[in-house]
Amino acid sequence: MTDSVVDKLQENAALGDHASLFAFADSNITESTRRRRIRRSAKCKTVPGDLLWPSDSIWGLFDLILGGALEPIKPIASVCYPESAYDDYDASKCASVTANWGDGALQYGVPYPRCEFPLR
Amino acid sequence: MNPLYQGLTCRPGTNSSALGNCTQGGYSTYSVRVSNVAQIQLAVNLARSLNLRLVVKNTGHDYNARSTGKHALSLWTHNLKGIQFLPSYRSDTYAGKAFKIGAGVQGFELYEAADKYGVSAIAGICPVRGRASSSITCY
Repeated sequence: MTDSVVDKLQENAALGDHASLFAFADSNITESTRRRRIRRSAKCKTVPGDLLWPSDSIWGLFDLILGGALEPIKPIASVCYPESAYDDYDASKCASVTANWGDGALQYGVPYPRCEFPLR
Repeated sequence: MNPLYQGLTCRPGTNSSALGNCTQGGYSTYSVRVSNVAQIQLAVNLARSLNLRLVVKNTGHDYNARSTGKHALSLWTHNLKGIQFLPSYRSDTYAGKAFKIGAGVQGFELYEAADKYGVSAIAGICPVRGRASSSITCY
């Protein structure tokens, strides 16, 4: 990717001001209000609820220009919990996840770290 | 990885009444399933622009949990599987056969490639760990 790609994003009216979110560090298009906010909060990373935290539409835009490669991370064992916020309880999937928990391939295939040792 | 880093949340088990809670805990928020360099650049630029926490997850072997982070944007490099055999690589300190490998190549995959080309490669004790990893843990 190059600056010219980012420039093209800038020219795309549908993206509007959001194109600058994807600019390189030495680009001159970084929006100044955002820079001030970052300076003010420099000691802490952005968390949900902060002004800088991306809205759903910005996450959607990000997914779009990534070619659909963005996915929300969901713990693989959520299928074992009837009342979790993920709302995806499934007894047979849970049995499979539980039986294969020690199998590395099960967890290399998901986008978050395998967590096992030493607490089982 | 030590599960304490994820807040011991959402452990597996078939007896749901014996389980604790299943929340996001220390898991990252979003993951980019990386398949090309431009996606990495876009993610790094977005994280810099918004001061987001950015982590890299390959196989997730790092015992100190650098591959996870609460509220983080995660780059998942597992699918960068390119392996290129260079019969006459040359640098200031080395001249000879070499492999150029993607960040997601695991030890066993490098061994398979070495076998194919009739050469030896070193990939550590753990065949499933990412070869390009800086971590030495294996479990």
